[in-house]
Amino acid sequence: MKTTRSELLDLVYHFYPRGMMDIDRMHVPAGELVYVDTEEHCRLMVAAARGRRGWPTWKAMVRRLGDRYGVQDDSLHLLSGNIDPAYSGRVWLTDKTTINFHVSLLGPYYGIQLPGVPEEEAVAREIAREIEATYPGYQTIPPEIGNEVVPDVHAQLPFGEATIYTCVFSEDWIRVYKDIETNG
Amino acid sequence: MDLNALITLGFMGFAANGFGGGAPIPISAGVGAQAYADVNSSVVQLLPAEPQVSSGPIFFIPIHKPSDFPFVIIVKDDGNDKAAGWQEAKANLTFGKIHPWGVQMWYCTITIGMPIRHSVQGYTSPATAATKSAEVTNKAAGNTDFDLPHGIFCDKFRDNVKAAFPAMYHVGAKVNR
Repeated sequence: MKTTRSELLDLVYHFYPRGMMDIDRMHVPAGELVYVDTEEHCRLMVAAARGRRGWPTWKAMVRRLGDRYGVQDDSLHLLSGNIDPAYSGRVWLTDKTTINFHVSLLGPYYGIQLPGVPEEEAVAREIAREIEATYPGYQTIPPEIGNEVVPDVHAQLPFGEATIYTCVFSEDWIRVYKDIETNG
Repeated sequence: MDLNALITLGFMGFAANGFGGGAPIPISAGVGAQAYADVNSSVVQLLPAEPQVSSGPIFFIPIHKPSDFPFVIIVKDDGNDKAAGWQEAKANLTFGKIHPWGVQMWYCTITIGMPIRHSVQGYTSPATAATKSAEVTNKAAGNTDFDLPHGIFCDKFRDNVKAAFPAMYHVGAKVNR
């Protein structure tokens, strides 16, 4: 199945309200609708809750990768009720270089971020194989679509900075690409 | 609440005539001493100095102390993998701004989480996590425009904390509302 820009924008707008800033309720007049009241955000909360229920499957996959590589699970905060659009993890290639991978909770998509080092290809293929075996039917999003800015959503990043990748996977998608050495 | 009372309560003050996020500027405590605060420090120092007269608004922010971040363990470190365990603190941080006509106070909620054992940094205790969180939030507050409406201020403040964490401590911290 081919992924189109239009499908992905529909997906993003299904989970993120357009033109609304995420402001705390305490800072708006009583009774006024805030970001967390929107249907879109409620859908995102439901997706995160689904992610919590499905966490053992993700954990088992991370553990299988951990048998072969040094792995860090970046999704543990989902368990404390945090809301993220995807499971995230990373495989350490060297002390400072990681391949980060994400499996979306919003739709059948996964993403792998390559740091641009020679040894990455074989590891990335292995990660992709493991994800596709664990989550059948999941596919990647081409960079020419994934890097497209979605200017009218405030999705962890300010207006004008969120992309399809950051909305579907993680706000860290941008940060990791900017500087792999400070990817937390 | 007057200036002395604020300082007595442990508030730190910096920046007069605009908030540039630069080096801390001492302000008069009116009692022959100055409250002198460094955004990287979680300690207020009282230094003897001549009182200063400042014109225009003076902005105050409180020092965020480690005790503001009560980290609790969400997921125990199971000893497997390169990193494991998760700890988290929810805080309601106070900010204030002093005008010639009075004091404005507001709050920002923030949740900071980080692994108990990080792939590179190793073990981070809840106490260390709290100390790092206090340092990062103080630094981030110094880079946030206190003239913004409070709701937008809090959003920008959290963005600044997100940006400051990987620059100051590579501990895999997650920052949310």
